[in-house]
Amino acid sequence: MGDDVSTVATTVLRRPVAAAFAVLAALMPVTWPAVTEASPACAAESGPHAALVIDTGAGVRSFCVALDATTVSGIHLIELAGAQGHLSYGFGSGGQAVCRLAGVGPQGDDCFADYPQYWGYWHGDGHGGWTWSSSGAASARVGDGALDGWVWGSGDSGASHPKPPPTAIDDVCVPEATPATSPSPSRATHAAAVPSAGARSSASKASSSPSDPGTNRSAKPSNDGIGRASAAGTPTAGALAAAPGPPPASAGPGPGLLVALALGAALAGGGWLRIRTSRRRRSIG
Amino acid sequence: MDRRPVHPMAWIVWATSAGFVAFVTTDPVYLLLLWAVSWFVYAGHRVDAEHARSFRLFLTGAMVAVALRTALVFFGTVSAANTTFSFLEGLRLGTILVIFGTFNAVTDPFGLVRMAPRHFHEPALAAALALSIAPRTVAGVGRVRDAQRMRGIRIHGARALPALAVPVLERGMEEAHTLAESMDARGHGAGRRSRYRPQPWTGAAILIAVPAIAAAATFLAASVGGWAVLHPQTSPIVWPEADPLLLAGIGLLAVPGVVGRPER
Amino acid sequence: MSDVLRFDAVTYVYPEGARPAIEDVDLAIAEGSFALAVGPTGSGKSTLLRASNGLVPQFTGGTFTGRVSVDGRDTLAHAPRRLADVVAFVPQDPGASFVLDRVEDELAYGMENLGVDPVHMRRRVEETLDLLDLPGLRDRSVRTLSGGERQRVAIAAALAAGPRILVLDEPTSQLDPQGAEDVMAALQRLVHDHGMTVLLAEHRLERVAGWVDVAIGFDHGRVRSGTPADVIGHLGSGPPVTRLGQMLGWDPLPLTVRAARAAAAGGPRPALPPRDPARNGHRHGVVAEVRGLRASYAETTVLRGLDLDVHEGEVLAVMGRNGAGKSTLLRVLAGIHEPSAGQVQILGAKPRPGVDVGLCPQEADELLFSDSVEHEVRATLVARGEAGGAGPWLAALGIAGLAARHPRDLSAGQRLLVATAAVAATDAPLLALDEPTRGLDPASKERLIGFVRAHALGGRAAVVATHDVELAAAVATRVVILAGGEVIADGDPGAVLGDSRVFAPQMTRVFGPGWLTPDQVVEALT
Repeated sequence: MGDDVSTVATTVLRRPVAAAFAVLAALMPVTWPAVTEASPACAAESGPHAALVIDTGAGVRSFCVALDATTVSGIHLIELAGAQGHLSYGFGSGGQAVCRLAGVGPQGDDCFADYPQYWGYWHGDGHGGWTWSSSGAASARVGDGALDGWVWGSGDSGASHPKPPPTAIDDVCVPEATPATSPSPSRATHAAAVPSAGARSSASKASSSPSDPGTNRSAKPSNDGIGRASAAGTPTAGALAAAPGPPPASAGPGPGLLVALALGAALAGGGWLRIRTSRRRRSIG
Repeated sequence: MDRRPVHPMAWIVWATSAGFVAFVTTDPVYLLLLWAVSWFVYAGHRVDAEHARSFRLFLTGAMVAVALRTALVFFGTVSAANTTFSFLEGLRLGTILVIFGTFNAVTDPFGLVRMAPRHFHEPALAAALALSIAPRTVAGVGRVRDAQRMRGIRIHGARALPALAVPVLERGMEEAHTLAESMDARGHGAGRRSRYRPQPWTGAAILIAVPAIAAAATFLAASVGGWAVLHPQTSPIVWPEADPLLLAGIGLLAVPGVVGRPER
Repeated sequence: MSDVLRFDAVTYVYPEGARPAIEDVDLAIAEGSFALAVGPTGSGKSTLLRASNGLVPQFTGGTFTGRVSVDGRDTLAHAPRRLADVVAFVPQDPGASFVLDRVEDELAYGMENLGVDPVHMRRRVEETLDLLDLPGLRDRSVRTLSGGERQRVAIAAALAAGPRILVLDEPTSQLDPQGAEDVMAALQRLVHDHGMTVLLAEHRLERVAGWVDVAIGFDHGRVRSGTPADVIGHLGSGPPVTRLGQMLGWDPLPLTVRAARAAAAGGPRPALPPRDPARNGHRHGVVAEVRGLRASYAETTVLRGLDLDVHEGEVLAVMGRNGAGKSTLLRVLAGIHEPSAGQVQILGAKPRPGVDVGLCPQEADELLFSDSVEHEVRATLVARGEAGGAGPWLAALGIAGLAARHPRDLSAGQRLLVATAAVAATDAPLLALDEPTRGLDPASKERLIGFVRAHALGGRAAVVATHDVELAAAVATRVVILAGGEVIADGDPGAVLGDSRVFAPQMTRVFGPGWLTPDQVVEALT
């Protein structure tokens, strides 16, 4: 480099600021994504929370509701969801029964006006299973970590009435591994009992995510994009989702996992061998 | 196989496809397989020590990214589910970096710049310069460390950092500056370019690009279809899945490791 | 014949410069000239070279007055890239300007930018490969080339674009004597047979003085152009034959060995010098011992079964072609490169870098990180727990006056001296210098020579790897030549250098073996 050029030019370079910029620029590609990916902090992690799942038949909405007392009634849970999550609701029978949720259900005081369809009331066991509620919404007590589900459909008891999609409390009240499209669709798809409901709910769950203001949906821009994409293609997506996807998670590593392991070992070994032979070839030549 | 070099576009297709696959899934099985695939492809096309250095750089960067992203969980509540989730997100990011590392190691960044359309020449050149700085800086670090050792200054600990960082950064910037200057002085970006050697699409290039597209298409369909296997559950934590069709897709991405090997 | 390059009242000040780098320059270089820019570093040579293709001021900023025109085009009115078809610039470090991987592609790069059609490009590439003796390298990756090959490729790449004027900044700095001669011969062929105009800057005038027909002398930013004899004669730091002529009052002053022989034929021949006791290197204690050394570099075996001793009081010059293994040998001696076989001992033990051996690398800039020269030397002292000041070390190299200056503000030659001081401050028994040649102007070279000889006299030893014959002739007490990974010559400088056709210094070529420096000859004649 020309001597007098470099001597003067590098007086600019030597400033620590320039050096710092260089280091920062080099680190940016690595740390930028890590920083900008939204921290998975939930809206409000402290205090008692319960989950409310509403399946209107055309879509599923879930709410993580902050309780204002240690336990609340099922009715009050819906009220809180309305206040926090803009869930529209209507009660009947003097405010003791649930007639209308998310715009579905009869207006007025008679919650069975659309019989045989009505809002069925379920309690979740937290791991995806649901139990038909033995008490009414007004008398049911909902506490921290509880899961309440409402399904619009026909069937006089838990045996015949449609269930909500399998949902765990963590699906609603904690950032999910992914939004909408994840565990539920596969599970729903293979809940052999209600295949049509499964297809319906997977597609609808996808479509529900963009519109859901849900306080605890953490923003994963990349994933939501895909979620929305699948929502756009709902009919075909539903069909695809209903088509046999991979088998449900079993207790331990499945056969596919072992195949994958073998493949990975083959690739790694092959690569290592390649490098060794090319090195040897070069030192001989 | 054909001795002619592979058309750079084939590599762009490969890297984009592999990156897309990594983008749509958080299943550690597929992601880690992609690490193995990248390593395999890189090993098949590795030419010399400098390429090895740049690949190692990206590998390290990827692991740092995974660690950083996993550590972000401490900003919220810490649970097994949260940590796993953070780790999977980090793994995805790291996978993309490793794929890019392979891409950088098997292609010549300045060869790519020549392919850029005229109006993209400046940013393409800047990108190529930036890419070339990293391996050169790494090489520089080794040389400067040696130089300082030779006068008795051992580089470990933060106090010795200026003795390492200042010469490395200054030389790196100076080299980049000289290169940019000389490219301009040789007429870069002055007018219509001609091509000395046309880059034909050889059989090898097709064998690299087409399976990659197929792999990306498979994963795209799975993603649009909402296949749960793409995103394993983290609460509760379960063993991740591996679907044979998708595994085959990943296998397709490994094809470049066996075709188009440079015979130098 | 028109002027290819004209400077009209050009003055340029760098953005942070206190005074002009070049001042009031009026210069006209006619077509077909072979011009040499000569002068101490910092005197404006590089600035002028870079002004000829517009890099100054378009890339550097600053204040520019006057007009520079290349082939009639004003460098202020045209971006450097628009001048690429008339002027090609080869920078000092050729490796830093390589864009592409293969040699062939690198040659074609300039033409691609200019939109030359492929048929024409192929022809030009072939011609240029032949011209610079490169056809066997066309497929190689530029990264695998030696320093000399790289320099030839850089020149070829500049040439292939078909400019009217070729501007080169220290084109032989990395080349061994044979390589330098090849390059100069190729450039002359271009000038004489193809009408090319060449402007180059060079410190080692013994390599170029005889080839050029115009010289431009630089002094603190001002230029004076004239015939080579005229300009170089006024410099006081010309090639050895010229210095000899000045000391003996020869007129006209010789610039080449041939001219010197003619001038000397008429006068008395000096009697053979007695063997200089200092140069003898009294075989005192052994400082470094090498036995059966095998070492590799970048996966090729470079040294095969080397045996070597370095004694107290010796200054050993290690010479050889580019790639002969000089640097590797020094690195093994310093203890930072592991040999694949054999034994290396410094004072009877395995060498500890920075303690037993202080090695100044080829790129002095790799060492410099402090904000003042004094701190730079102190960094070494502090690292070995020495409380003393940097003063003595700076004084020994004659740079005490630079103590407060920032190293990167200094000229390349001065930076090399600072780096040497920093390494010398390790006070190691063996001081090693790896090819201290790039940017080394004659003044700095003198200081370096003086320092190295004094250092060795103090009961230590020094090893200098170099391909600069005149440096070896002036500083060494013993010379070793490496080739094929082995020592092929080892002994007294007069004998070894006198015996070699490639590495013979100018005094040897004029007066015969045993004559190394002009001072020696003058002393013998008076």
